[in-house]
Amino acid sequence: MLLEARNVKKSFKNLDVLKGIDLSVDTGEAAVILGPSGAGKTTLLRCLNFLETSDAGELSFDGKIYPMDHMSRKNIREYRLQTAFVFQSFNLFLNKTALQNVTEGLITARGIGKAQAEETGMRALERVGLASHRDYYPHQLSGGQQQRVAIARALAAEPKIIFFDEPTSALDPELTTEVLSVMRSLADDGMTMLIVTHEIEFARTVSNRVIFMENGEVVESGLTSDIFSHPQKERTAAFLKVESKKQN
Amino acid sequence: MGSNWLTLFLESFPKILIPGLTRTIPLAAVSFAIAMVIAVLTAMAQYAKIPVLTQIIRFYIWIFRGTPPLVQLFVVFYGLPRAGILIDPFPAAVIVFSLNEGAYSSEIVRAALESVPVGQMEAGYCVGMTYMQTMRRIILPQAMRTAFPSLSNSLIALVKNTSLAANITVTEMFMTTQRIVARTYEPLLLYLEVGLIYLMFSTLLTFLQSWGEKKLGAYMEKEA
Ligand SMILES: Nc1ncnc2c1ncn2[C@@H]1O[C@H](COP(=O)(O)OP(=O)(O)OP(=O)(O)O)[C@@H](O)[C@H]1O
Ligand SMILES: [Mg+2]
Repeated sequence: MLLEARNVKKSFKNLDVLKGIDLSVDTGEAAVILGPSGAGKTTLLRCLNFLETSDAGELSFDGKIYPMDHMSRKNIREYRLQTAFVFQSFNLFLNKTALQNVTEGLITARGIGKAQAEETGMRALERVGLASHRDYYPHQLSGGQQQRVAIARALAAEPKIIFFDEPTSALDPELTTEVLSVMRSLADDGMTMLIVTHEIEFARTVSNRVIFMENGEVVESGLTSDIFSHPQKERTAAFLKVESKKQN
Repeated sequence: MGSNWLTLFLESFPKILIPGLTRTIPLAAVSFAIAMVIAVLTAMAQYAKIPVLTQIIRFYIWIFRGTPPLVQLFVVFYGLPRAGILIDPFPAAVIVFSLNEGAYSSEIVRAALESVPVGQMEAGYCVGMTYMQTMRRIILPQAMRTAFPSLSNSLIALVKNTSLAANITVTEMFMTTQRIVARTYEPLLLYLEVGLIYLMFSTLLTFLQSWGEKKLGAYMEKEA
């Protein structure tokens, strides 16, 4: 396993949002987290990249064990240099062009020379079909294009895993398609991804593994084909049924 | 009469303008530069909610925003010698205007920092940057763009406020004008004249402001 989290707990004030989550993602796998609104999916992803500090939990990543409730700054940074995050609201650097968004982390965080960073950055932009938009600022791009730049930014650092938090829910349906197709091609190339999504059809056809969450707990997880064809839990079956209908 | 006025106007114009260029402008420019350093550092400390330091900064801002600059000038120039601290007029004025302007600008910069969406900092973290790297490369540039119009207005106000330094014997434009009035007994003409020169300075700065806004604005046209 590339990433294995055990017993992740998080509460806000007296609201228990994550009640001891176990989850694992293998190298080359596209895993999706499904679940109703408020299940704690975003919180889990944020805990997994230390944007939130968990109250408990242990993370094993690429052979190294990290205590999730008391990470040193150095460990967080070391871990983040091997991971990437794609946000629901894109969060492109507003004062940077598309290319600068992609190269910023390479140059500033990794100390890569500008010329080499730009070469890598252009390759990443090409990968998402936006090489021609290198000099556009975020506000000059559509939502779908912004999210594709965000994916290029994630790719450029050659992370071992990319976390996606509902990458298409801020987008119109026609823009959703272009982002999903980029993600589909990443999955085909064997990029390791952990994706929170409400796109059931995408989950069914692209992912290898499904984690179904509700009320801060993992209700059921397993291979995508198993979960979709014969879910073990009634809640999972009901959720998949309702969500699949919604999309047709 | 009319021709006398014109002669006096033309004669006094360079006499007033020169201290404007050698005193008023440098006083405003140096004070403003120091104020910007104070403002950015104190705003960043407040934004980061550094304990103790934040309280000290709140106290500093409270004092300097809550008292008139004229009183501050008098305390530093006429008051401090009583405590054995003697400061020349010009540096005394620089100290007061820097601290005073720094207190106001600190609040402007802090508000601008807080207006940058939190997602910007988080995105910085997620590409591996540290807090300070993200602050320097992403957050501060966006905040300074937001703060630019307010800070420009403060600079224009500061240029005008330097006239208060006449009260602590800095021979800037206004002081110089007062001296010419004492000699010529033409207060209406001369005070209008010095007002005109302040107006020229302000107008020039306003032009610079809109030019700067355009230059900085490339990436924010929509929000603006
Ligand atoms: N910073 C916070 N402070 C307080 N409560 C929070 C915070 N973040 C999340 N919560 C609460 O935690 C619960 C889970 O939120 P979370 O955003 O993780 O759900 P989600 O599964 O991602 O939902 P959605 O599908 O709507 O995105 C919600 O009840 C939410 O109100
Ligand atoms: Mg969410």
